[in-house]
Amino acid sequence: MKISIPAWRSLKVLQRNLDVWRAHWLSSIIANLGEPILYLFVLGVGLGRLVPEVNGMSYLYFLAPGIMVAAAMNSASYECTFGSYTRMMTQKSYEAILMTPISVEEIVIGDVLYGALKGLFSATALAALLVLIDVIDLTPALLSIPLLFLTGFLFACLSMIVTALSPSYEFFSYYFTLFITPMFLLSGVFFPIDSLPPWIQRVSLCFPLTHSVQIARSLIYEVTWMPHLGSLLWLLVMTSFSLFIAIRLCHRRLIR
Amino acid sequence: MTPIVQGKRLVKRYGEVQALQGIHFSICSGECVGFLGPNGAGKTTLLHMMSGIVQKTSGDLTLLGLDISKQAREIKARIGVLPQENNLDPDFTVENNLRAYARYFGISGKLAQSRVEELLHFIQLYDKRKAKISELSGGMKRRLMLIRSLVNNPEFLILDEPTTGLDPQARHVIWQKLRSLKSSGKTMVLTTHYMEEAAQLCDRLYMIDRGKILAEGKPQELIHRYVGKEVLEIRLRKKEKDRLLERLEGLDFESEEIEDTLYLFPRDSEAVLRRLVEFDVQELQRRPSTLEDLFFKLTGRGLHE
Repeated sequence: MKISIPAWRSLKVLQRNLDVWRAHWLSSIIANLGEPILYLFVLGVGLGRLVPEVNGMSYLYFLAPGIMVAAAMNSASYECTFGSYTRMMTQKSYEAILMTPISVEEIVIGDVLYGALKGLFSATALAALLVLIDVIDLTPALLSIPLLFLTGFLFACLSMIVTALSPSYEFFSYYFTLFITPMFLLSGVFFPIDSLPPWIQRVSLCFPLTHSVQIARSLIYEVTWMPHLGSLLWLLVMTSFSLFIAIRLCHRRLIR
Repeated sequence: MTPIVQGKRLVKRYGEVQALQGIHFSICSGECVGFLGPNGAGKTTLLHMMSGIVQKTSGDLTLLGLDISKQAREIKARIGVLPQENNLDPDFTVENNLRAYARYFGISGKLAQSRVEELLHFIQLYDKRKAKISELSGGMKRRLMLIRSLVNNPEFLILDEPTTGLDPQARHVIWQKLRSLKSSGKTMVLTTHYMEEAAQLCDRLYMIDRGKILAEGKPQELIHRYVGKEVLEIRLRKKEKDRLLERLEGLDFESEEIEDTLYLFPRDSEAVLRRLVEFDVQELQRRPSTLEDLFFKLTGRGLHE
């Protein structure tokens, strides 16, 4: 298995997905933004009245960066599970593409890029809203774009691994209830992880989302990510590793 | 002529199952070659191997002079594949399906546009170019699949059951188009269950069953070699069968009995018929032997399940 660099053929797979998305973009925005907006305002404003301050800021402010990266995680995860599975198994689109000069690795990279872009799109739309209502400033919002993309890309890769192993759509409910949701709740989006029991803190530090949340929070309110260089490296290592595994597993599933 | 596709000692194992057990074949430029055999014979495995989505366990396979296990990308750029199952993009219109597919081959812009229009006219789907896939009939989908496999103007065409499940009209349209591709010099390989399809399209056949090639040759040659020129199909009561065969003693023929029907494959039909004149058979049919007879002769009449 070798990945040709530049893998420009992946862009044709991405282009195919974007062409499909163009037809459904409005419903896709509503589906992807509804939930994070609900979390932000129900919890940020509602619960925020009861919570005086977290880490020296109001609860809505504390919540905003975490909800942004979680939005990237969620959109990318949905796309590269349900969406990719549909393309791989139901519509057999991958098989059709495999009859052309495009290889399995290029298909996987194209699909993962698409998941990452959808994640980025949901998260930046949310960021734009937060800038508009003056919760976050424009400059840090723009600076967080690479992080949102990276978060989306990482979860797209992890989801692709699940998709390559999945016997059916039902399988994804395990992934979401046993992995994505606990991570969403325990990675410092809703409360600082140092308020958790020590052993859960250790688990939490293994979650990629925890690191995204930490970087996001200091990017947005301190306009720096330097204190979290370790977190960034962890995210990059996880991303490369999971992309490699995703490609291997998809190869095994598609080329018999 | 030098073959443009060649397989030597091809083996494919899935765990314990041997899907292909050492297959030799070759296809020359401009030829249309058919692989015939019952379900599970290994036809699709072989075609998947040629299209690069099944890896061979051992043996050699070259297409257009290139090794499939080393130069799959170069090969795929120059071949066209019509898979058994349609896998059109339901989110795109007819023409956008073709355009997206052309893009995978690096064909875009004006070249793609003229290619797509030419193909839509060729298969008579130009008026449907804006239609969604869900609005097409089964025959139209298959026709679209066929021209999709032609977007890169392939030198070699792989057709896995091109007309299975279509009504006779749609089938004949596809046959006619395949014949015109053939006369324009395209090299093709196909699998089919329709003996008429094989007879209409194929210059040469490989009969295949349980992962092995049983026979190879031109359709008519094969029929004459294995079945003879004519078949007598006789329907009669069970107990009369022995009496009938007794009466035919001394004549040169082979016979096969399936349920209520006795098939005779005589060297000389006239001689057999003369002896049967006074015999009370319910129904007797004398007909030229066909590929179907050959198929049954080589692969048996029982279900392969």
